[in-house]
Amino acid sequence: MNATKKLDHQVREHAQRLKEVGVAALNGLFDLTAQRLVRLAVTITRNQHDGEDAVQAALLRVANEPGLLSNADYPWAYLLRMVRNEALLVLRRKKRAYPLANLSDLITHCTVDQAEREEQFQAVWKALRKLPSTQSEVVVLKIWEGLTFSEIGSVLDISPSTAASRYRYALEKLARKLNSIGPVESEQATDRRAAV
Amino acid sequence: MSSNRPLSQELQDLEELISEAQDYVVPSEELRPELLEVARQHAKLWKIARAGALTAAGLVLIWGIVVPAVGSLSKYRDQVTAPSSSEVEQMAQDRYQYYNDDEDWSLVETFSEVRDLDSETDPGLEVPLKQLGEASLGIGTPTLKTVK
Repeated sequence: MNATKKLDHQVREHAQRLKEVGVAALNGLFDLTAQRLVRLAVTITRNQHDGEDAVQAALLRVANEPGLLSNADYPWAYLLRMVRNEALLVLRRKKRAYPLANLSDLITHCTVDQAEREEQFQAVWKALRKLPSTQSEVVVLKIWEGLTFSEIGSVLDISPSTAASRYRYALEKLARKLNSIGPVESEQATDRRAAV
Repeated sequence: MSSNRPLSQELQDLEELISEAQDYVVPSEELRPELLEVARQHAKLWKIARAGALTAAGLVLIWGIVVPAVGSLSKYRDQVTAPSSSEVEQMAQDRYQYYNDDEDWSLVETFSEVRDLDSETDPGLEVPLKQLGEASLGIGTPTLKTVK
């Protein structure tokens, strides 16, 4: 069973428990999904507080209507989609711009052996924040959630090929921002192609 | 990073670099208690709203039954209620004109007849006013007492 299918199964089980036991079972679903959902929402909203608002709204909806998840064909993808929609709603409602290079809003955690790499992690997050959210969300779903382009397509309501091309453009930009593979082409040219 | 490596290797390194940063951002400590608190409040409100909706539905149901029942019972109102003072007065007046008797005595006689008829009939089913009116004039059953 791959990681996504396992998550699907676990999310469905938690949703069933929510149906049977009620709000008390929300703890389990939170433990299983909160970190993943928060990092997706924060990537879209570019602010920790707003991202958490989106996650809270989505999980509240699940608590009120657990059938949404337990009856879904792919509960994990459905939950990701719910959080993404809530994040976009929060973005639309707030309409204020945050300084993209500033990560002071983030709640971070680094183990002792990772402490040396904290700067690298910050660089990745800064670079992700500078991407359009349509591209950064694909990167998060692909690399952090391990979804296929087809699964990403169903979460974002786009075709798998669109998801793949957004991913490619995003990686090119990230590569330049993180200075890992050098300038492949100008950023404007990449943006023009992405717009097409 | 070196740009002499093949592009696929560079991309793989980049993916790995991004992947390693996945646990860097974590939910705040307040998120869980806040979520649970709000979820509990929502559940409570939901229960109250459901109880309110059930009560309202019950009231509407009762209203739907009672109003038509009262409407249909009002058809029999004349048959189950005693004559009002104005009706008795009218009967006394009719009696006075019919027998050309003393006005006060007509009233006394009418009251006596109402009382008599009331005691003869089932307490729950009193005599219809029409019948009482006819009786007080001596033109229907039961028979009237002879007026002095």
